Amino acid sequence: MEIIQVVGLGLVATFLILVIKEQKPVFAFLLATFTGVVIFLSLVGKIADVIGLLTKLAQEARVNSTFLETVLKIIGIAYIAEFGAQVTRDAGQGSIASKIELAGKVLIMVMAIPIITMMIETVVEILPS
Amino acid sequence: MPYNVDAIFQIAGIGIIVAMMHTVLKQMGKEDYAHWVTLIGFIVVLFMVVVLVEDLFQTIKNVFLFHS
Amino acid sequence: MIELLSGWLKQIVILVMIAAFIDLLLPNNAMERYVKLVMGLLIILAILSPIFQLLREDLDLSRLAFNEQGTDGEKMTSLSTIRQQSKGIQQTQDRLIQKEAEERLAETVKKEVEKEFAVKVDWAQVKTRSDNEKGTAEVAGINLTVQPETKEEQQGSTSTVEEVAPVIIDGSQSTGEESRSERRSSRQADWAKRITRFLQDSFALSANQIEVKVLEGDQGR
Repeated sequence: MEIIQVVGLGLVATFLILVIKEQKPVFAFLLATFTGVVIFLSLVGKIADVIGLLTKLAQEARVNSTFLETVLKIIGIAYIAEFGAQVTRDAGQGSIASKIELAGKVLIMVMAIPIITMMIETVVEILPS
Repeated sequence: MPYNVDAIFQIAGIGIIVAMMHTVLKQMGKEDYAHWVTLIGFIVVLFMVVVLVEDLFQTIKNVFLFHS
Repeated sequence: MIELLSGWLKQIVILVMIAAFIDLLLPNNAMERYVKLVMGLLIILAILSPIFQLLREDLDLSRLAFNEQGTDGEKMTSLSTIRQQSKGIQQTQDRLIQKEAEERLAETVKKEVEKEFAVKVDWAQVKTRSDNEKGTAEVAGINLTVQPETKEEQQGSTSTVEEVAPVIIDGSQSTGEESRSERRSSRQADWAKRITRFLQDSFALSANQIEVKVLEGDQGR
């Protein structure tokens, strides 16, 4: 039961953070970050399983592997940006958090450029010149 | 949990100990020592956190097919 | 066709499933719209892919055809050799047909001549000339060697000869010999003329196309 482990870890970390926060808010922040990372790392194996399933499906559907790679990169960017934004927001820097999210969105759009280019090329090719 | 969960307790313990030392040193009148101790403890904990975050980023890179 | 359709549908269904999974996999709602946009583009691309494929295959086909014409010169030479061989075979066949026709014509001529005249045809040869442009063939010449049958025709000929004989026998023995040979030759010429005329009438040929050689009964033996 992974979920019990995760919840137990989160509860323990929360208590410890509550204890430290009185004395040292910086340590509390680092502890929160550390706990979040540990929880995510414990879950990343499961996400890899799901992604393996997606890759198999995509190979079955004969989707261009570049597309799947792009989509997976977009998910990765979303995860990292989300992580960073939440950590900074926990630290009380809401503006930096929103900038990180903005960067994530922009990078996702950049990642989507090849697909959009291919779409436009397809449409142009289909249309009689 | 494949990862070192006790690192959480290490960080919490370091934080508590540093806070105690800071308080004791402050009571003893050694304000600058107290700041140094806080800084060193912070660096140690930050190092642990940074190692873990680097691990996180590498894992995300591997899982989400960032090959660059 | 049905495999193409099923593959297309499978692709679309699997893409939609992937999109749903990815929507579930996303960490928060802020990025959802972007990922949904990209996945929608992918799905539209998958839906449009048959048209795309068709266009691309068309191009590929023309290019392939061009390549084959350009690079595979050996096939072209082999085709020309095949044509040459077929021409040669055609010529052989024509020659065989011509030969067969000549033989049959010769047989016919032999029969006709033997039926019409009381002669024995030693050998008959019919030459045909084929016209390649029109694809027709015509009789070019007939060679015939006949031998008068010795019984009654000999008598008939001797009767005619004996009519002539008194006129000719005037000279010496040597001239008699000559006249006999002349008589023979005239008889032969008579036969030849008659057969020639007959063949001329029945095959619509000119006289110089027909060569009839008449052997005397004694000479043949």
